[in-house]
Formats: sequence, C-alpha cells, structure tokens
Amino acid sequence: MEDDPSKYTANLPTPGIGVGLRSPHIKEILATKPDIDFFELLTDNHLAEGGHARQHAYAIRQDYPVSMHCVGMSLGGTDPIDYEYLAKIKKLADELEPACISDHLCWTSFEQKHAHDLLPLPYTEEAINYVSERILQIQDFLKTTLVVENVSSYLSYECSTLNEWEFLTTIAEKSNCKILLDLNNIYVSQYNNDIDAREYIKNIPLNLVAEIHLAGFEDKGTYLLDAHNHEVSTPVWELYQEVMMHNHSIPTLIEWDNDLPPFSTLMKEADKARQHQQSAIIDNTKIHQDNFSLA
Amino acid sequence: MSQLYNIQHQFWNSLRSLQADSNCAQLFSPGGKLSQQERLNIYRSTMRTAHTNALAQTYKCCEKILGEKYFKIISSEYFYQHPAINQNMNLYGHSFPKFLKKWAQNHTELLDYQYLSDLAMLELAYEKSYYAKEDPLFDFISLATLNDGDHQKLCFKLSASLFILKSSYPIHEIWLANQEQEHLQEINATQEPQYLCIIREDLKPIIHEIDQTYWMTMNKIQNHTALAKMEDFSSQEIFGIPFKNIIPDLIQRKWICGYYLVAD
Repeated sequence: MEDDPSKYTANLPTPGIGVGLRSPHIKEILATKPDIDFFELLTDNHLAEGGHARQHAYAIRQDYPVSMHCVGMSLGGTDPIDYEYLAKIKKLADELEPACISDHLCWTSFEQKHAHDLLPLPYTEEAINYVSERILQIQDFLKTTLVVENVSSYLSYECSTLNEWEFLTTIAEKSNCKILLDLNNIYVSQYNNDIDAREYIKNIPLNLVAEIHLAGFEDKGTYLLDAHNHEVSTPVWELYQEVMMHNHSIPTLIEWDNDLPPFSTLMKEADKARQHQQSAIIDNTKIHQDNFSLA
Repeated sequence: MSQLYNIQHQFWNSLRSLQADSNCAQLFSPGGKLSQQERLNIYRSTMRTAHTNALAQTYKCCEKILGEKYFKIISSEYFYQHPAINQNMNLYGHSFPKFLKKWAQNHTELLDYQYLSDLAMLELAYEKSYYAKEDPLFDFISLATLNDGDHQKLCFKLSASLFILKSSYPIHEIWLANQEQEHLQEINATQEPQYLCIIREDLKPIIHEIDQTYWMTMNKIQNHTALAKMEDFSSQEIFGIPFKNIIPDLIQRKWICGYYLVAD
C-alpha cells in the first residue's frame, strides 16, 4: 500500500463525544452499539499481534471511528526515537485507519529503561527546539499529524524560562502538530503548581486544538493526583464550558482508566459533555442574535 | 551534554534509587503546598506503583497467596533491581519467577512456599500465551513434497502461544484453587512431577496436563531436534505410547503449527 500523506490527519468527528475503550466494557459495547461518536484506544494495549486486544480493536473499528492514544513515544526524551515502537504503531494504524494518533508532551524513558510514567519537561528554548524536531521526525515516519497532550504535573523546574501554555503552543506551531488539551490535567497542575487554569486556556489558540480530554482526579489533600479514576469534577466542567463558548465543535473524550465503573457511567459523563456543548451553542446563538439586533 | 540530558539523568537516578535524592529536588521550584522533596516523591511513588501493579496483574495467584502487602514488598524490591526494558508493560517482570525463587530460598517465612516460583512460571506462561502472535497455517502441501534428504533435516515448530512446564509441585491445582470463580479445596501434594502445556485456544490460554512422553517430545521440538533424531530415541522401551501417534496428534491439536529444515 502506498503511503498517502493526506490519508491521516487529526480528523475526529466534529463536534463529537467519545469515551476511552477499556477491555471490561468491550463485550457490552459490541452487543449494544452505544450512541457515541468515537472511541479512543490505549494503543500500547493493542500492539501485541495476538490475543483478544487486537481482535477487539478491529471489531470496534467496524462500527466506530477510533483514535489511537499512545504513551511510549517519549517526545521529550533524550534517548533516540524508538522506530521499532513507531513501526508497530504504524502497522496498527494502517489496519485501523484511526482518526488521529496522540501522545504526551513529556519523557518516559532514559538510557533505554522505561518509567511507565509521564515525566515532566523543563520549559526552556532548548527543550522547545529539541521536542519540535523529534515531533517532526515522528510525524514524517508515521505519515500523520501528531496530536500532543499536555500532562499534569507535580512540580516546575527552576530553569524553566516560559510558562506551560507558551511551551505547548510554541512546540505545536514549530512542529505543525495539533494539541490534545486535557482540561483535567490543567486543573490538577493549577492546584499543584499555583498556575492559573483560566489564563492557560485563554492563551491556547483553539485552532490548534484537535481534541479535548476530560477526566477525574484523586484528591490527596496537599495535592491532586491525575488518577483518571473519578468523575469529571465541577471545576473541570466549568473550564470545559469556557472552552466550548469559544469553540463548541472540538471533539471531546471522556477518559477513565482506573477503578473502572460500569460503561453506563461513562455514557452519563459523555451526555454531560454533550449538554455542555449544546448549552454553549445556545449561549453563542443568543449572543449573536443580541449583537445582530443591536447593529 | 545538554541541560535537558543532565536534568533527565539526575531525575532518573532519583526515581530508581532506594533513597530519595535531595540534590535532585533542588532542580524544582520551591514554594507552594509541597516541598521540593515531596514533589519528587510523588513521581517516585507513581512509578513504583505502576511497576508493582503490572507484576500483580501477571502474578495474580502469587499475590493472592502471599497477600497484597507482602507481595508489594517483594515486587518493590524487584522494581528497584529490575528496571523495565520494554515499552510494553505487559512484558514487564519476565524474570520475576527466578527472583521469587531466590527470595523464597532466603526468607524462612516462605519455607513452606517453595512452589511459588513454579506457580509464577505458570502464570508467566499464561500471560505470554495470551499475547503471542497468531500462528500461520500449516503448509501441508510443501511438507508432502519433501524428499528423503530433506526429511532428515525436518524440524517441527510449536505454536507461538504454546509453553511447556514441568514441576515437582501440583501447581495446576494450586492455580485452579486461586482463580476467582473457584472454591478453595484440599490439594494433594504429589510425589509425581507435573507436566503442563499452556496454549491459546479461541483467544484464551488453556492449561493442559500432559504426560511425560508428550512433554519430552515437545521439549525436543523446542530444542530444535530434527524428526529423524526423535525417531531414533522414540524406539526405546521407556516410551509407552507409540511415537508414531504423538506427532500426528500434536499436529491435529495445532500444537505443532509448522516445520523448517535445519541447515546442513
């Protein structure tokens, strides 16, 4: 099959609401065909060529668009790019034809040992140039526009010369990638590092945002843990409403990875997201009408 | 070396060391609800938890028998000695059975649990079987066209999802007794070794108890023994089952999935 560079772009249904695909829910999803616009696969769980996981991915893809969410590209890591890993992703992507492929703005390995955690980067010019170049190379190999997610953080570096939104936006502009804006991660980082979440989202050019993630955190008292094991919290819904007021067509994913509830709970969260989208459309229509009548 | 490399080097060493590194904490901005050291400790904790959870996921029976707390102690020790070398977390902990064997030998509280490492081998085989690649179809047509010379070099291939085990302990019964849907029942300690074959059937690993002849035959196949040499040993009296029945049976079951010719 010849590679067609235009074949893959960040192309989720718009406006669309999706949920993360998790193995305990798959039987129910295949049997009931729920009313959802897309599913997001945790790519690394489906890379093994044998077993249920791959078969499930194919089955879901028959009925729904999917996005492939990765955790192992180590976009900011100082190890060489792992082309063996990327080749596996590309093979799966050739089979599934996902709407988009995403990973995180972080590092996950050092000297070929893996953290299996999303480790934070310093916000420096050196890191911007380094990470942007890596993203360009990865996009060139995968023949797709990568969608890069902001991670939650529990620290900031003394040597950082920029704030996070400047770092994220500059990398997106330099590498022509898109942004996966995780609003829960912004809120968690706000709490842990005294940053202003509203200022953050105000300064993200929404035309660069291909997808939004919504998830729940765990309150540890002195800090919030990005555990993806609770419902989306009220302050995060408020941030989401604010984004929707400016662009209600950005595809949105409900992410729940741990302490999985029944699938119906995820669908309820998806319905809430839809309601926020609809309410933003109505509010924007009112504003437009008011402005029209004043003119 | 770049500043980025130096930061990651120092951070990584702090994540992997038994004791927290106060020098590394100085990389982070002070102030706020947490100290610099507490911030580093969050990452130390989440990284260790990700690895020990992965081990608990693969070695469920071992965790059940040892208890969550004690298993966490052992798996944390394993984490500090064995960093993940593969991106795929499902492949983490392949040397854990060996680690567990040494641990059980060195800790008197596990004197009556020496079977644990064999049980861990069974659980590892189960996991590997689940994720193994699909087998190609057996090419019977080209097998039928082999000449006499090629027959001397013929070696069979076992299914990629097949693993054989031998244990002095009744590990299959122990495994069954610790499955969620199973009720605990008395397990008879046996003097006879147990021979097991784990293979994926209809997307699920199945554990078969097999006899010694099947185990030895598949062991020979795994060790690249040509069929001609296997026929030589199969004529000995120790084998009760006619050898000429074993290979066809293994092919019919799809435990043998192909063949290759050894180089001259």
